[in-house]
Amino acid sequence: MKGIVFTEFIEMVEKSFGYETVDEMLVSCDLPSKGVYTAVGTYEYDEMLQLVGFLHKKTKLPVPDLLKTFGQYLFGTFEKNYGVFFDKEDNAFDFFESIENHIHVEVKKLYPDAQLPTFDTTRISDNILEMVYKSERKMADFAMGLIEKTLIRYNERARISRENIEEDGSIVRFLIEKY
Amino acid sequence: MNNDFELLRRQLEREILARKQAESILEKKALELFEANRDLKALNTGLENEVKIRTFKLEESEKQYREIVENSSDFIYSADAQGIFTYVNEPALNRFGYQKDYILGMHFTNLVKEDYKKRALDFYLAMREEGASQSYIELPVKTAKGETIWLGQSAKLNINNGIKSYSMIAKDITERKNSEEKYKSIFENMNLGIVEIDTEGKVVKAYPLFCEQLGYKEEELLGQDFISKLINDPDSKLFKGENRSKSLVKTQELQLKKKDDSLIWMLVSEAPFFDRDQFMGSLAIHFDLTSQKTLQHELEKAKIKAESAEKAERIFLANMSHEIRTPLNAIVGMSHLLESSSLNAEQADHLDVLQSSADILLNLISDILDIAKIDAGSMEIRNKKFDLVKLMNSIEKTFTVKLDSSPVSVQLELDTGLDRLLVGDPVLLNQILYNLVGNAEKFTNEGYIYIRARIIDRDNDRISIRFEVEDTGIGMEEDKLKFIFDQFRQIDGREEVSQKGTGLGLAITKKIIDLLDGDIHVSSRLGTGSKFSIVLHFEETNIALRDAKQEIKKDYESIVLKNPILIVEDNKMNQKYISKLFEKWNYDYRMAENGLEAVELARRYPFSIIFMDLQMPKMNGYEATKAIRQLGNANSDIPIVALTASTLSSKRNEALDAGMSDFLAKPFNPDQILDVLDKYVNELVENTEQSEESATSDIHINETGFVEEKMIKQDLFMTLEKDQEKEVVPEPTSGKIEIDEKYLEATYGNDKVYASEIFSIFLEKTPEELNNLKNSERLSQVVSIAHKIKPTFQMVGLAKFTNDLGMIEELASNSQHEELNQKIDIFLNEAQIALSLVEERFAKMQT
Ligand code: HEM
Repeated sequence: MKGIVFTEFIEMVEKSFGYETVDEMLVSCDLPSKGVYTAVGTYEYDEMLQLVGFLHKKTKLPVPDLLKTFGQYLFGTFEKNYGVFFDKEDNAFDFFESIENHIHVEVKKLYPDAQLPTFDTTRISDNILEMVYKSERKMADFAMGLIEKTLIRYNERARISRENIEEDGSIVRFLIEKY
Repeated sequence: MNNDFELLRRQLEREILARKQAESILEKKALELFEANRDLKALNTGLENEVKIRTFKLEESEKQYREIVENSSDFIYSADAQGIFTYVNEPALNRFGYQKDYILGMHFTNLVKEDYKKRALDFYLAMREEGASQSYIELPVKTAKGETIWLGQSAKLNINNGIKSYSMIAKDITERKNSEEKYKSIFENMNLGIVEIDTEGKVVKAYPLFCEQLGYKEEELLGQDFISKLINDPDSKLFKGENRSKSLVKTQELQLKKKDDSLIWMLVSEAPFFDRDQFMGSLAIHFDLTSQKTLQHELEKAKIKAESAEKAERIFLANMSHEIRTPLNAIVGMSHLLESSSLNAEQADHLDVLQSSADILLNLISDILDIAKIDAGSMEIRNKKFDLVKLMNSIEKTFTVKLDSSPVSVQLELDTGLDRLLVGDPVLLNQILYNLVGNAEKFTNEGYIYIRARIIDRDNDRISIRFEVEDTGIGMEEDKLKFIFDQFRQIDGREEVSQKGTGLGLAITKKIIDLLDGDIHVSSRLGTGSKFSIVLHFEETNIALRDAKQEIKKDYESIVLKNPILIVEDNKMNQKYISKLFEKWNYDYRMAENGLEAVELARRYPFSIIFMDLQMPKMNGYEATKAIRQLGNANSDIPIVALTASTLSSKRNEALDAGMSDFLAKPFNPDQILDVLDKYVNELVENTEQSEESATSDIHINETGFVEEKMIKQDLFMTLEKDQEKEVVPEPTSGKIEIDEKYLEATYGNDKVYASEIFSIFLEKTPEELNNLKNSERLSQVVSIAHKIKPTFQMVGLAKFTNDLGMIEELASNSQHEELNQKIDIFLNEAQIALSLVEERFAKMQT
């Protein structure tokens, strides 16, 4: 998992709970990286799981909520650093469709060792988009946060429903219905 | 406080480590970048070199192109937008006859012939205005010497940074232009009707021949719609649609409507014509097909007729061969049997005639069939040693007998130098001579027929002989001579003379002589006679004719068969004939009446060779052969020879397909049977040796698969000795009528079945024949009946009657009526006694 995901996560925790919580989290988890993260590095996905797990124990907030919040938080970073991707499209649906075929493709070029999900998108009608998320990292909640923020970015309102196609969450179907 | 400090320390530590980590990652990336850069630089240098090489190459090829341009036989030049020459290659300079300095800076129209200048200028101005990139024009040009040459000039308009210029390449087409005049006249003289049609399909010009072809005047066609007015086929695609302007020639056979409403078949070709790339219309070219169509139709009719005639002929020939060959088989066969009976000198002489006549007849039939073979090129020449003198004698004798009662005598004149056996095809030679003498006979009413053979060249073992057949007959006119070798053709006015002849005789003769690389020449004078002379070439052996008899005769004693022969034949006469032959040669044989019996016998006993008829009741020869081939015992591999009256090669192939080894056409003569045995005897001996080797073990005998292990082995030599002792020459007894038991014993031995068969056939056939003899009204009938039944009496041990019949035959032939009638009366009386004797004897055999 790319370092930016960790540095951003730590930044979010620091901003919400203070560096003490960050320190406690890094000390109490058994991390091969010893909690030393740089945006340009690459780390075990398992470390992310441990960090989220710690935060859940500490805050009593459910893991899905934490991931979603992280997604929302990371969106801001994406928007700041990769504004071009957003400027390219003028509506949310076109943007969603460009993740699989364009954005993540560019990501993969930049970081050949990035581990990305796949999204199969289908326009059911003018107002309904289906996105099927597939990933061994089972981070659909994280995706949910990104989707919500995206809609806000394009100033669009929509109902988002989700359904686990694989029970373990490795395949998840999102249905985004614009009002 | 301490806690805060520790926390800060850890934060700092993490951040320092993170920075170091990031630095090392970045350093690594920088290194990667550096290396990538270095590679890139190397690549760049490579590229530079590459560019250098390419540039050099480019310069080279530019140089080459320049050389090509300079040395091209085409004229290459360029001009600026105004038409001023900027470059002219060497060949163009040479041809135009101007110096380079003079021509560069000159306007191109200065070269063009006066009356063409404006046209040329307009053409290139239009090209420039319209921005057409390419053009072609043919121009007359004046050279420095004042000579006019024609150029076929292609121009390309170049635009480089807005500046226009022309590049041109031209060919000297003076020769073509000059000959175009010539072609024009050829064109007009060709039988092609030409019409020009505009883009709308209207006739704009109709050339005279076309008008003539359709019966119109040109005025009547001008402006008319070509398709609706003249073409009779609404579906034709000519002169329609987009294809009209495509530069390809379309051709179709079409019916056109003439002015008088009749239709005419024409081969119509369509080609577009252009003016400066602009499609202007079509050229319609017409070729009158009337005569071709009629010819084609007649050819088809003729072909169908010819095919059906050919088929009929083939069927006729095939049938004829079968119908005639079957009875002929009996005649030839019987005459050979007679040879072995005791004959007085006169009888032997008659027999000779009989035999050669039958042989000749047989050959004739074969040769009629063979004309087809010759025509098809599949006639084979079978060379062997033969006695020319004997052959000529036999022909002379045949015709002497034939012409006995006519005032024509046959004279044979032989070169005394002919004293050796020759190698050649006696059958073909015999046929040639027989045909020619037969021809002479037909047209000669009195006088002579000379048959001559003269040696005209003799070199080592090559000998050339001239044969002549000359007659004192009616002869023929000079101008008819050239037709006489034509097939199915008899000379006019001679039909009444040639009642018989197939008309093929001389045609066959000529074909055979051609086949043998010989020459034939005929001379004739009406009312005086004709002379055919032939030259043929042979190989000469060093065997003198007086020793020849032994040489030619097949030495059957050298053919040793281990096992008996199996004969499979349903026809009684043939059975008798072939079995008598084997008896004569002391071969052990068995007889099967049909295929089923043959297979049964082959299952039980080992044989050396099988002679098998093809058409038989119960099971035919093909099936029987297949069955025997599958028996799995030693008989499966022995030779099986087909006997058939059919000469159809399809039958032969069928026989070979069925697994037969060879093929013998009926009627065959004894020598042919010996030939077959001889051909296979080596194989037989080999096989025999093999099986004898292995037969030493008992197991092998069991393994041969025969039901009866005890083979019927015959010691041929013992049999021979025994038979020699017993050899009985039937003595013609006078007066006393009795059956010659000694003869029966010698002929049939213990084979009661065979004897009673012969007896029963005798009893079955003879009374009827005696009756016929009694009632015969013509001498020829008497001769034939006597001849036919003559041998049968001897077979039942009544040789006296055979002799009597011989005398009767002779008396009848010599027309000695009185004596003949007396003799016949006595004979018929005695024959009744003979019949009852035979009946008695036959009854005794049954017990
Ligand atoms: C400009 C926009 C985006 C950028 C630059 C971006 C880039 C990235 C990067 C760098 C990762 C980490 C890969 C790794 O750690 O190996 C990631 C993961 C992920 N991205 Fe994006 N992404 C963008 C938009 C989105 C959006 C809109 C969605 C959701 C709809 C999304 C869904 C995800 C998910 C779910 C993951 C987690 C990995 C997984 O589930 O396998 N991304 N993306």
